[in-house]
Amino acid sequence: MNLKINFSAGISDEVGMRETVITVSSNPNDLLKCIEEQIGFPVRSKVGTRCMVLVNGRSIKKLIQEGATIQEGDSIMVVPYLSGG
Amino acid sequence: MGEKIPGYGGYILEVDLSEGNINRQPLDEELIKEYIGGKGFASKILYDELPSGIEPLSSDNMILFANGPLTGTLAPTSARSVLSTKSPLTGIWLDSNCGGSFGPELKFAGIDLLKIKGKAKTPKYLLIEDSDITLIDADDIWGFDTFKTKEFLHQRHPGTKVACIGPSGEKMIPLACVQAEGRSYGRGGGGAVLGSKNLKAIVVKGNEGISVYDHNAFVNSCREAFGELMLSSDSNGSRPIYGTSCIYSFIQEAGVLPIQNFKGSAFPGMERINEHSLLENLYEGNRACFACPIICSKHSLVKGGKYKGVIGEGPEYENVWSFGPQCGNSNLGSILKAEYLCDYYGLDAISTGNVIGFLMECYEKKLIPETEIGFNASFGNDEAIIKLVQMISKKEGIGELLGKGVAKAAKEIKGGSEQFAMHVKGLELPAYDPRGAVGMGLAYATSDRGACHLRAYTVSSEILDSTARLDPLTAEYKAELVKIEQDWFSILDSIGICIFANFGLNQNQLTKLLHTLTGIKEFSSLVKLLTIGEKIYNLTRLFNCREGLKRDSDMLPYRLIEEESPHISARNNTVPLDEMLNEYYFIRGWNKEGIPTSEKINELGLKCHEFEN
Repeated sequence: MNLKINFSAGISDEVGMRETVITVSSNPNDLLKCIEEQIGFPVRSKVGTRCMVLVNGRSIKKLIQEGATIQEGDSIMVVPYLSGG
Repeated sequence: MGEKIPGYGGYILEVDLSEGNINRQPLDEELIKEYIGGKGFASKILYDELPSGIEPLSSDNMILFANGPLTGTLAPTSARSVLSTKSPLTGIWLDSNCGGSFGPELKFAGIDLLKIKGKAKTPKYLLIEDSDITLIDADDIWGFDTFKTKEFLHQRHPGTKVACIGPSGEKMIPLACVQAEGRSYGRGGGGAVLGSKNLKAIVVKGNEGISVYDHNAFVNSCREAFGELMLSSDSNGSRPIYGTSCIYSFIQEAGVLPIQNFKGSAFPGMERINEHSLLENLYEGNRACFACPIICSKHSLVKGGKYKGVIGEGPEYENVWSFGPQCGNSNLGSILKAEYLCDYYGLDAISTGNVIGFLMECYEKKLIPETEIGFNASFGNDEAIIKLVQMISKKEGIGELLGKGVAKAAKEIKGGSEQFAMHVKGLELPAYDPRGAVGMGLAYATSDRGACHLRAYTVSSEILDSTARLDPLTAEYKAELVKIEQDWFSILDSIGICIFANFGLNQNQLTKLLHTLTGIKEFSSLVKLLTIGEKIYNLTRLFNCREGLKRDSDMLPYRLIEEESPHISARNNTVPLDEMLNEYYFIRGWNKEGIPTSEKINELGLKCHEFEN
């Protein structure tokens, strides 16, 4: 399926765009690989230290823990590691 | 006086405006060991010296400005000082923290704690030039806005730093703040208290140094801390570029950004005010506080549209929210204009935006007729927002009621509006919807000054921290988290360091900075510091309990408890406050009414005879 992916704050500078559309499967374990392959951003080496991947506003880790799948219309966002505003 | 205590200016300055007396006396070493500085000092002084039941805007109230030992030193982000008083907005404890350069200058004049009592017969300002301290007539500047006041006093007293009130403080509007060199002691109405005392400004210039206990160790600790902050993806990543609004999209995506007085989930054009838009369309340059490598503050210029040419500090994340999503407004220029007006008149921009959003909901629900307001005040009407800020600042029309704060406004408007008056204990909620991060609900409910995100900031662990495993939508572990953060943040507010340093440094690094500076053995370990933090937080709680607060005051607005979150990410959640509150009181050692038990009071070494039984 095709899903829109957004990049917030400093991640958008690193990636060089604020949003795009990528093709993903329903398996959340494949999402990071899909992002890397389709936009050329080494997200797997940055998750946990420099950025997070959100699916519908929650860390993708939560989705994996719950055994949930990615659905049509889900919102994907890559956000930098931040502590507060 | 003999040799200075390392890390401290060495003096308490007491000014009695009624009598015109000025008394500069050495700082008590016992006070230092037990309460460190800043908020800690304020908690002890206000508890001991301010009787319960006094009227906040009477001459009986006292207002304090207090520094921490790290304020004005080489330590990164050491710009912070605290204003503390009994709040005219809430009637309870208030401490309000400010960066910039005013606190450090006060320290350079040798002052750790400034106590202002009484009321001057005519307008005055206080001039502090090291040990030369005078009260000067301020008739000629009464009525000036805060920018003009600062500029005038800088010209008259070159090289000084100025904290002052604007027309809103002079009119004793409970939302009035104190402006200090481009930053604010923002929340809770400290500006109104200064206005009630006829004190327009405090002008300070200091030339004294700060002694250091272990010079080499302290400099090394500072170097390490600077280095650590520069490695942090927070302090040296998005924050210096995007300012405090770096979290905007993240918070929105997580379902924690309140929209249209916490009832909406979206509004037209909301993407036009996100962090990308701010950077692209508004920011002109950076402003750093004293000794700060993070540089989160911006100055901005509106480059087009009907607000073209407006300039101002910020806007900060909180004020992008308060004049943006809270009011359903996506006009970036109007957001900067509203924040500029708050700085100009001297108003708290969080509370001002919150109460305008409240009015807009009242207007749309037809609880207030348009004739009473004078214009259409629907959500999203940017011109109405600007008019309302001006009316609040001048006590004009409906602005007089709104300036009393959302709690009092709802009581007067009635019609069920109390259910969506977004405040706790009279202080307006800031920019996080706790239905999407329920720990913030407990943080707001138990904050010692009313709804505040700076007493505990659980959203960091619940939402923002990629390594945390907390579920933001449940009560699990939230009581412990709020308690630990409240105690630790009391330390941050006492040592003189910005909360943003806490995001890049760990607690042991901050402890090391403090101990190598002061050499005081009571500050030598994190465990000892946390005990002091707990003592401070219990003392401010006891201050409030003495004013009559108990469990039924630790409440959240009806909307957060009974109405489901409109955000998809928050999955129809509400805040399970009772569940968290029971656990929180238990962990705190407070009884079921939320009052510290005599065992807890004795354990912490507090001398609060009213509560010992």
